[in-house]
Amino acid sequence: MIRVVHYLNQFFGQIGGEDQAGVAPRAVANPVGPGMALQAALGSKAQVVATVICGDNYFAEHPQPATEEVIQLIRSFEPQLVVAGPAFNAGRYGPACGAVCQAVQSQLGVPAVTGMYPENPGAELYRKDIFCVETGPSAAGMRQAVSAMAVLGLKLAAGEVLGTPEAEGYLPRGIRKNTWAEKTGAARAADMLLAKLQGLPYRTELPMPSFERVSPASPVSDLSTATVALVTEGGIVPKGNPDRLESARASKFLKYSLEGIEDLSGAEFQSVHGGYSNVFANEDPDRVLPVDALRDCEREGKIGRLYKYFFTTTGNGTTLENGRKFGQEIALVLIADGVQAVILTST
Amino acid sequence: MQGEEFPFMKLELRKFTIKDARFGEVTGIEQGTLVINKQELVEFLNRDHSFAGVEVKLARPGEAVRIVHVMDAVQPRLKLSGDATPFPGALGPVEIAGRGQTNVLDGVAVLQTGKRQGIQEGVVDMAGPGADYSIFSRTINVVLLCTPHPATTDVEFDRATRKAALEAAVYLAGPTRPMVPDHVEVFDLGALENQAHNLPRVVYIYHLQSQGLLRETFVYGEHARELLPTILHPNEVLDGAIVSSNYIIACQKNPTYLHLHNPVVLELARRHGRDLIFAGVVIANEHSTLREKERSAKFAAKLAWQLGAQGAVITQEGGGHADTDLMLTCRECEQLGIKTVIMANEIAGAAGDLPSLVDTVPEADAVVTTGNNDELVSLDPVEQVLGGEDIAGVAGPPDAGLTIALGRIYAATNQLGATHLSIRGY
Repeated sequence: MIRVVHYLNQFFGQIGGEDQAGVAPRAVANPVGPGMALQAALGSKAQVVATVICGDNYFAEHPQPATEEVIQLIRSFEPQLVVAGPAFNAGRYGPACGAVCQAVQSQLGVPAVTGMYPENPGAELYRKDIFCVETGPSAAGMRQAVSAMAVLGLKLAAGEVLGTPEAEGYLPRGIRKNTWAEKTGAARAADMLLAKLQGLPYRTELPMPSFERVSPASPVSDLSTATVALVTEGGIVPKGNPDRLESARASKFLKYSLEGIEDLSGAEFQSVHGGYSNVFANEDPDRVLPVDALRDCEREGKIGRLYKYFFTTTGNGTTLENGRKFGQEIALVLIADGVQAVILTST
Repeated sequence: MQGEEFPFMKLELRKFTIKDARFGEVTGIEQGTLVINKQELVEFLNRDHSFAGVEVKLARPGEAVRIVHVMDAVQPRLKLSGDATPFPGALGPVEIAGRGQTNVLDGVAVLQTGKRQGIQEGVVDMAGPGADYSIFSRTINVVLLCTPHPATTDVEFDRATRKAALEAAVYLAGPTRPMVPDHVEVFDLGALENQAHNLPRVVYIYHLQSQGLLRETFVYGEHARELLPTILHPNEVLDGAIVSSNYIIACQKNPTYLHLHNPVVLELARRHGRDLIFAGVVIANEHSTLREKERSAKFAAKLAWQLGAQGAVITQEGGGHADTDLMLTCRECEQLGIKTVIMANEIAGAAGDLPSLVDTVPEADAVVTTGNNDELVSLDPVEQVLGGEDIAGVAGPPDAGLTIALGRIYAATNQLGATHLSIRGY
């Protein structure tokens, strides 16, 4: 028998309406409200052993402590599956269900499933990390939603490999997996264009990804006393590439000394970057890593000094994961060494 | 005479189906088997002593062979008319491509291999799970390995190896001159143009990447680095107007072979007069600066508009800032009322959970994906390795079983849509 804990808000948990939205997490040792339908849908394979209830406002106003309190309560019932909601299009309940499912998975190592309307802000926030059944906007779709969540939950609890989001009824999590299509890419492009021209429905194969925005740091107050570092993704390395920096898909960054170097010479440095023609960079590596210009700035007092090392990698098909990791590690060293500004050259 | 038989832009691809290849006394075709006099070919390619050495090897589908350091692939071809070559300008004089008769060794590719400074090469497995991915796992491959003299510069070596691959292609197709082809494919788009006025007019906007040595694409023998977008007839693409010398990452470059077989051109030509009017090809280079990219995108869209396009298929070559060219051209077309479908491959990380592109526009609402370069694939051990003795970034012997990113397999996620590979979102 699979032990299931069900998470609900104060309304579906039958504590009360908006006036009770501030209630702190509590547990009840049996199914409540939609939990009845959930138990019916789970059948004899699983039992709802407890219901954890938390007020919408309590969760929305203190998401971190609320998550911890909810997780502690859930943990005490030793569940093998956690079901949250469904939250339909409820704007506070959805993010709470998402946060609970995410924490259950990561902190308890237990599978979790919830259900939301695709436009629920909780879906956008958590769909990447959790399994969220697509529901209608309101509780009119309760029976259907709970039954889909039960089917998916039982599969997750059994460790089954899930099929496509369309087949299993969960919201796509943005995980991209290669697959073979019936037609070639070119034929699919022609089909898609004809559908678009005729005003017929078509489905893009790649919804546009959203990017993390990096806010610029505040300006350096006095450059004339600042230590300035040079960091490049342009693949500048000592001649012969002794540490074997990759020309593409870099797995590392490297750090080299600039002490005593006034001007990068093509006899001593080169570019190994595979994404641009290296002819001009190899003639004069300052074109990618402008040590000569920075030394001039140093002499003219425009900057305090040039940091005594430079960092280099190859930004050519390098994964975002690696790029992010390189950036964080480089920044830690620069901060520890008292660097106030970085000139980051890209190619 | 020739002109009467052949309207100006009528092309006959006369195809000789090749089922096997071997080395022998006399270069020729014997009942579907390509026979190659290896010594004659080597001496011909190295007649000016451009190379320290030239090796020619064969790799057939199903053999436990791995080809590494693959730089370009070319199809053996011969132009029957006049002095023209099947790669005008890149080899021999400039003639307008896409007209007359061209003999084609169907099922054969010449693969140029070897190391280049700062380049990460492609891998082709002829058998095992890796063979599912590359179109060159299904061709009979004549594998060239040209090695430079110690004093040869990159510029000289690049020019010599490009010429050698094209010359090998013409040499291998040479014996077909008097022969009768197995079948003939005719491209005569003009003959259908006037029959179907109610069909939508579609253009193909074909981005090329030409950005410097070893990253060049040639149009009639000149690199496209400063190209202002221009118009090609579809037949010109299919008949050797575009030759690649772009060697960057295995799946982020369009081989000469795929320019000759551009799947988008073939598909739009196939549907011309039936589902659509194929109004032309606009070629546009992917430049290095944003200003040039904007100029190119606006100009390509304007040319599409001048051709009366209602729709456009847009492809790219390369990743990273090439995504910007793709997106800008998409946006410019949509703003002129030209509906677009764009094609791209993805860099979504090994787990498929990272952003797939580096640039996007909201107008790009119809995208065909040709696969995630970062997904890992496992390759079986092989008995023989051609083209080099190591694989960049892979420790251990090159003939071992390997797990590598799909994007390392030559043309696996090619950006012209030659294969059935796609991506499903989970």
